[in-house]
Amino acid sequence: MRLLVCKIAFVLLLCGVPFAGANAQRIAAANDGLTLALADKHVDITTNFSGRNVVVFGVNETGGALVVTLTGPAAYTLMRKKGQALGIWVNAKTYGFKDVPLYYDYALNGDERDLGSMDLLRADGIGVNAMQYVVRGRVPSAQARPFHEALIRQKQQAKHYAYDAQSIELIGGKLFKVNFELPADVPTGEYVVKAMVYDGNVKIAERREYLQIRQAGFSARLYSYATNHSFFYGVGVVIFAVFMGYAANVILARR
Amino acid sequence: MHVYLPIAEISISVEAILCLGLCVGFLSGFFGVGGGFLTTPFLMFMGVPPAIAVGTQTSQLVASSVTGVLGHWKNKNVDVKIALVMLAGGLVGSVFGVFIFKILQALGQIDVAIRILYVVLLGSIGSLMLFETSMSLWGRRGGAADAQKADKVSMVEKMRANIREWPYKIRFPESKLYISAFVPVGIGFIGGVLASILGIGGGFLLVPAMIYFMGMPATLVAGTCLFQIIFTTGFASIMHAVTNQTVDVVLASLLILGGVVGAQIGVRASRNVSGVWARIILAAIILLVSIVLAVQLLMPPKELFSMEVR
Repeated sequence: MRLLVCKIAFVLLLCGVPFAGANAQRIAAANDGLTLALADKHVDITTNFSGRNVVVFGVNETGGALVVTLTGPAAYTLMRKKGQALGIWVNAKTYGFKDVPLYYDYALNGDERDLGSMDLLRADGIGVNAMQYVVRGRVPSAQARPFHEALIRQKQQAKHYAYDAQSIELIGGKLFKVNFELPADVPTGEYVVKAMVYDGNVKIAERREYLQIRQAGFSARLYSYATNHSFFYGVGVVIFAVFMGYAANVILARR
Repeated sequence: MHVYLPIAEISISVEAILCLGLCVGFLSGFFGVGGGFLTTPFLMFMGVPPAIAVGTQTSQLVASSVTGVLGHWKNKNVDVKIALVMLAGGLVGSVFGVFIFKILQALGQIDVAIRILYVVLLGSIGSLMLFETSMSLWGRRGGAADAQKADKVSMVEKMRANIREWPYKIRFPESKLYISAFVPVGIGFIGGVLASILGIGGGFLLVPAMIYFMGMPATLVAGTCLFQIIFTTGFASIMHAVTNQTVDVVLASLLILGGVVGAQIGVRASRNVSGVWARIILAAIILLVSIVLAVQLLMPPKELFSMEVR
């Protein structure tokens, strides 16, 4: 009996190896056919920052369907639900979600959006509706569901999550371009831009680039000083306030 | 025009903040109050997180108190000794307040707690002020009001006599007082707690307390209170910067700038309005703010969920 199982396993292995090898080769070849580039490697947030466009370029020679995503850094996010206590609306119930992207936007090829391949994308976690978070603690998913939905709704209202996929602009068939619009209050951190190519039901190629969104100049120096030397920052602010108050009095008295 | 607030990490309209500073400055010039009780709720309304609103507001209060106190200082209307004793209580109160603030933040109830405290404080102070000033305006001729007033005076006298019995007495030559240190320390403590939890100087509460409980001469009260508020709010500001990192210097500068201009206009406008009417208007504004906040607490909210990123 044991011998039989071994034989079957061996045959299966023999059959499987060439398939797996072919798939790997195909992916390697497809990966060569996909290139991705960012117009800028970083976005600097200065004091007058009011949002920016991030332009992603690339070449897709594989012939497969293309998906481009822009994902912000992940953070532990709490969702609270208000409830009535003694007639007052207080925060009653809280669920914590692990590793929630602070920002999410994505783009699909115009044709793909009509092709009904959304199920596949959903399975791969692409698109806002496909996002799955881990809830902290043992909570039945049915209970956490409304909190999860509220999280996505609020992120969308804040323009931190896309409502819908953007279209990928195709230039001459193989060259593609995506324009992601960042709002004024875009969260800072390391963003990942991913380009993926699907053929049939398989992901055949993936490329990623990193985008730094950070405060720069005066604003950045203030932020780092306030976090690294918080005591001196606090004292500085108070001295500044005393000076401003004194100056105001001098100006007032002169008039 | 929008400006990016480096600590709050949000972009906000410069005009709106300047306008808020202007209005609050106008009130402080017009009525001689700090106006912090309006800044915090309005900043929250404009989308500034409550923690940033409170933390930043404390540093704005430093500036407006300095401006206010200098005039009193020139006229020698500051009792430094009482202010220092109050400050002892104020510093302990600030530490206590920041601690409570942190606990409430961890529990996720900070916005609710701030609202409830505002409703209770502003509601009671506003109605008391409105009642008292309207009594003095319309009840002047009535004998009943006189009897009521006499009643009240005797009550205050009884309370003060009671307070005079408290131990650890200190002499305050400037105010010609010989009272227990507990009174100014206690009043300072409450001021410190209010400054760090609500981001207000608490002048509207401290001034009557200093008059009623301590029996301080009215000419010295405002200057002494402001002098003490500079240090309490300055300390609360540093505490918030260190423990919560919630003091945004860009936001504070805009508020201070608007406040300076507003205070000038307010002082000029106040010359054309009688004191009683000014007090009635102030009481009405305070009551209005507390009613709006109370409605927000009692009405079912449009959005049941709120998000916090850690």
